[in-house]
Amino acid sequence: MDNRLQLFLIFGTLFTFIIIIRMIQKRNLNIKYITIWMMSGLFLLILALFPQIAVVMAHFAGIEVASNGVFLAMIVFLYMICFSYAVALSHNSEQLKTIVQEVAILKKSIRDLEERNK
Amino acid sequence: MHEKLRNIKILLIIPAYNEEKNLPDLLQRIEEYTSWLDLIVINDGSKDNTIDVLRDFNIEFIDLSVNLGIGGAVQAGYRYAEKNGYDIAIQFDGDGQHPHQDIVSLVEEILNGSDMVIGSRYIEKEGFQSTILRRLGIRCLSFLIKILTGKSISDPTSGFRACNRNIIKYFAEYYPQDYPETETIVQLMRSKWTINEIPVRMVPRQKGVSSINLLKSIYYMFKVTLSIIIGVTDGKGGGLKKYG
Repeated sequence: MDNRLQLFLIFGTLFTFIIIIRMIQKRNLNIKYITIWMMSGLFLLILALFPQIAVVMAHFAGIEVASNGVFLAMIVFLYMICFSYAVALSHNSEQLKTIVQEVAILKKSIRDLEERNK
Repeated sequence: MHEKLRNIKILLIIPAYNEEKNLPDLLQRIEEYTSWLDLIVINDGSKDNTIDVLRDFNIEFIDLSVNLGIGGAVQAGYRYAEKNGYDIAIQFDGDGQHPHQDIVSLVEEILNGSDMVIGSRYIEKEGFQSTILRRLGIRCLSFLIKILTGKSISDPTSGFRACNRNIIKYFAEYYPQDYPETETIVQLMRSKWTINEIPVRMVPRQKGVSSINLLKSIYYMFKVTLSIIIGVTDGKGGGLKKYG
């Protein structure tokens, strides 16, 4: 792997880590949704520090240029992250739907009670 | 009929989204039924004065704070039916396309032992039949259900339907959020509930515009086809337990 790419990756991932950790400390981010980013960052950092791993892995996967292997791995990670969002989003919208329905039914109960107490 | 209904609680669920123009007519037309059934209108976060119309008519309503779409609105009705111990729930669109004369036939069919009854436009092919393109789409879905489940449902997209207590409990727990009609049929069949159809005459939409366009139609067909296939191939019943 090119030294410049290596340096770029090392500083890029370290910078991202710092930002993520700062944001968690400020309570802007939920650790639950960050683990997969942290894992992919760690993976990248390891590859950047020991590029031989990327070369061996790329060779093993039949990819000629190691950096292409890194890009592929990144894309796979992004897919996983996007998918985890679809799962979280489905879960959230289901919860939100239930809450809206329950609140609406409660509002009706309150109206009925007020009516009766008049 | 009315004798039979003495101890049976029936709820008419009317989902309404921006229906201030259609509702007054509709509410007048179904007033005669209120002697033997209860009415609940679900205001699905309407941006017009639907809620004022409901207050003026002194109609029981559930007011959703945000727009959930037809599935979420109807499910709110089923939740309400479940909590208040209704035996039969009937779905009736707020845009006035459904024939109120057939409400009685739907209820009778439930009393005869069906778990769910669908009012179909295509059994006697009378009344409003929708556009050619939509009829074609409905035919395709009908065909797909037929080859996958072996059961004939001529109008799977019809939102004019009635169901018994078991299905009310099931729908209160699980109901798809958008374009729910066809998907729920497959879900119920998967759980071995009995679904029957009766012929009804629908009328064209009175006022306002239908929310369906070309892009939505493509999404509709794709989503519904997918839901049918996923529904049929899921032998475990999607992790949903059968009630009753």
